[in-house]
Amino acid sequence: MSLISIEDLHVHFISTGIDNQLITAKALNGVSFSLEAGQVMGIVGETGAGKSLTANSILGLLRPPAKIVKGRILFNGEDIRVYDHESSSVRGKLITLIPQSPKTSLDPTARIGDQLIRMQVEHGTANDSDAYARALNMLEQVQIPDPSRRMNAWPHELSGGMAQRVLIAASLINSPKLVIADEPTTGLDLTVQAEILDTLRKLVNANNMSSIIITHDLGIVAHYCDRMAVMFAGSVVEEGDVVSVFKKPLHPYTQSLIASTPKQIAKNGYKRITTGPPDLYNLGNGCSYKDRCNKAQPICETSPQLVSVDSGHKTLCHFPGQSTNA
Amino acid sequence: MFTKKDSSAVVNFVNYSLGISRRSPTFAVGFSIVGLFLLLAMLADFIAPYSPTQSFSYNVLNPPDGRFLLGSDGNGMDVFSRVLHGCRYAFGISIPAGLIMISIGVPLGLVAGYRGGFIDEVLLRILDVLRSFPTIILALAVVAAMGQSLTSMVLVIGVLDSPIFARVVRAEVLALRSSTFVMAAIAMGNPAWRVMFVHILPNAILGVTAQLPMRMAWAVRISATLAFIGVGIQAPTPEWGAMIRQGAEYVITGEWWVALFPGIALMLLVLGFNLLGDGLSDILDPRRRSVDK
Amino acid sequence: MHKPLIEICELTKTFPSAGFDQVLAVDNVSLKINTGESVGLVGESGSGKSTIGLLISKLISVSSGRIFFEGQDITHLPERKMRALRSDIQIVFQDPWGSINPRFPIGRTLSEPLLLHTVLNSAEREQEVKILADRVQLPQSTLERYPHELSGGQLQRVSIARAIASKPRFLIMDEPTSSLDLSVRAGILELLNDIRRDTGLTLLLISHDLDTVELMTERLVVLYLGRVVEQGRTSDVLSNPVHPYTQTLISSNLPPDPSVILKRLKATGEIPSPLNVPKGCLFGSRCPLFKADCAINSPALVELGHSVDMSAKHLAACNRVQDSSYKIL
Repeated sequence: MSLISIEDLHVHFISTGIDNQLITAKALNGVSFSLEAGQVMGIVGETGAGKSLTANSILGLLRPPAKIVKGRILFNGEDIRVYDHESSSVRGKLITLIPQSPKTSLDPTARIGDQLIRMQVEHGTANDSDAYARALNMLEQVQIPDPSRRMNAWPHELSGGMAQRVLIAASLINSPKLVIADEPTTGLDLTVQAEILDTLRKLVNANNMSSIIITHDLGIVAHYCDRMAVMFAGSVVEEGDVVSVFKKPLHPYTQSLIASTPKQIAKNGYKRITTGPPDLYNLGNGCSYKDRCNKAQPICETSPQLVSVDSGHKTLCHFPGQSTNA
Repeated sequence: MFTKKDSSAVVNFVNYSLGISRRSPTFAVGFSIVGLFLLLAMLADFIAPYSPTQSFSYNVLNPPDGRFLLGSDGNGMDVFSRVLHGCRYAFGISIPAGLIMISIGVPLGLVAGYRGGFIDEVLLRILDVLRSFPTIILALAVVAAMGQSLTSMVLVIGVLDSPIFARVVRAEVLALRSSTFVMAAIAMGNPAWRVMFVHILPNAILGVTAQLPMRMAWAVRISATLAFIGVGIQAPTPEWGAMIRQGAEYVITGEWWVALFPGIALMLLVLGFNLLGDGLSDILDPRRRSVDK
Repeated sequence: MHKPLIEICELTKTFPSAGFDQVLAVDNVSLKINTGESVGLVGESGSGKSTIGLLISKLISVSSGRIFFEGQDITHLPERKMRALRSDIQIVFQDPWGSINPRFPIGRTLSEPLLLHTVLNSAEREQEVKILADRVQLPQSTLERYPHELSGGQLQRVSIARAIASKPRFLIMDEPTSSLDLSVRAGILELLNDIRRDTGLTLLLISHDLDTVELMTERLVVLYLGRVVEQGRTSDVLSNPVHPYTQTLISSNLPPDPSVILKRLKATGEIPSPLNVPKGCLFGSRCPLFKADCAINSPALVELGHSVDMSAKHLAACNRVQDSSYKIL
């Protein structure tokens, strides 16, 4: 049984427009993927693809006008969609989040040590006397220099990289089964990014946790993830293990993402790729990628089915695997 | 010919106004009040039953009745007609004064904010002085020196309040000065005056637009105040402050209408201006500027 | 010998910081850029790369040092005279939304450089603006729109169109694709490539992305805490990095290909705050090759090997170059 399995998740944003009519943004349209224990999955996509929204859905962080209208989120076989995440032991304990923008995600009015202690006490994973020692230990594990002094530091005293390490510590301190990292290295320097990711991977492996890394950086997925899911306009258009997907991308979108990295351009030249994010208010029927796909055929007006090519490598396309010619 | 386009333009206008009223009822109310007074001011000659300075010696201090809707004052003049004509004075002072405030204050604030340096220092010191000094006393002194006329009132109020506009503009300019599009404008080769007036000013104008009605309210109040203390415009000119001054003497003897009606008019117009300014800053608040498609 | 198009000599910039502190953002940087060249400036936060861009375009004042454009010293040129040169030196900023006046329709933004630097009348300007829009593959309909109605990629095209409108000789690009989505970046890079090919524009590309500079530039300058630590042909520097910092930087880069084995070189700790700059070599406190002399001697740029061709010289500022013990990976 998979640790976590998302099945056909649909999330809509329902609000009223200027003329008091209901307008719906179909933000997630049948997201499905699964992850085994001990695996690291990378979710790649651009703005509006629905990556962060998927993470928020798993953690029960959706607020109106966002609503899950269909689908299931199975964690260890149980559908956690219906959990009251405020009180359940899932969020913050079994599944934790490393949010974006480290400097603004920490409580500016509490010292680092206190925040780490609070994290434990509120979830009942340690009592007051043990919590301090565990917090200190966690800071050491995320390689914060001079951890005992840093326990008393205020968030604003930390650099971006340090703050991110503290957030990693906070997310791991309750030994969760699944850690979701939402763009964990945005805004960080290249050298710092590499170290943060190394630290995260080491700790996740050491404790046999699973992890989902949400990113728009294909390099991170290539080197820190076992499996990957490519999202576009609210669906997972391709899923598989990293080596297979990079070697033989099946979906035209995945192909174009890889082809537009500078390294690929240096090898194969520029390929004209249409720009612009999809309009989630007017998605229409059929494949969401058809307007910018240069292999689109009349059949693409109908929604593609999930096609499985090799074990575990799936894609949502009528013509999987055919290479795009510029 | 009234084409379909015309009717849709009217419909658009109505929708637009309703939309604005929904966004800010404060604005709608303020706008209506000020608009009403403006209308009255423009039509005063036609609406007023009598000339504001025509005195009916046999009808001194009449309470409100059929002939004198709001009563008559100590000189036998119709309060209603005088209140109506008072609107003209209210706008006749606040509008030119407002224009003076803007034409001095905005460029001053622009240059002070953008260039900094000497002009900025001077402006800041002037603002310091104004803040520590009751403006009324200053106005008093100047008007007393210059003579009590409409012109002197307008000039005094206009000049005295312009540093406040300068301050508002300066603050916006300071914020915008280091924004990337201003740097881009300089990088493109714009001379300083174009950067200030073509690029920065339109983006800084929001604060000014919201501030203007407030300053106009102030102009109305201060001219009334000065008239009330006897420094500004005097009777028999139908200016509300002067009217209240005269009416104050009669309140004790029970002729309440002489002071009350100009007082209400004054209060309402100032309220209207304030609501208008408040509403404007609500509407123009950039945070509300989500695009309506 | 050809005069370089742009030359900066010992350029230094300090910013006042809170209290009486000073931040040394750019420290003694010298660089020559020849006509038609594409030079990359890479570094992480605090490297001073963006500041150099602002200094060369004279948007901020120089603390010391000189800037030459075609041999003319423009360091302290009064703004009046600088304006004439601004048609030749243009800059594209990182944030497309912030760098375009939100109150102007796009057409007006594009016609402004024409207004300022050409003698075209209003009809001719309108025509030229349409040509510009085509050049950057913007649909003509965008000319009437406002910036907030356009996507990031489209706005960056507007930014580029505006920059090339006055037919500049030199273009500074400060992180042109960093705030754009992945699939949009390639289009922008392709556009820049086309423009360069068509006009022979000289380019200074400021970026933190090594893959982008590898694609777009011929020469590379690596900055660390305001100083040049290495420079040379892009292919040389990236395939054969000398300075330990460059080696660290390159080893931290993640190519989008899982089959590439990464050899990670770690530098201990983080970049020191510019308010607290170490003595001697700036990288000393984090360098795996640190020796006693590194805390005292601030190394000068030394050439490796010997090259007659100026633009092929590979230089590095490391004390270990002398003992040839600089190779770590």
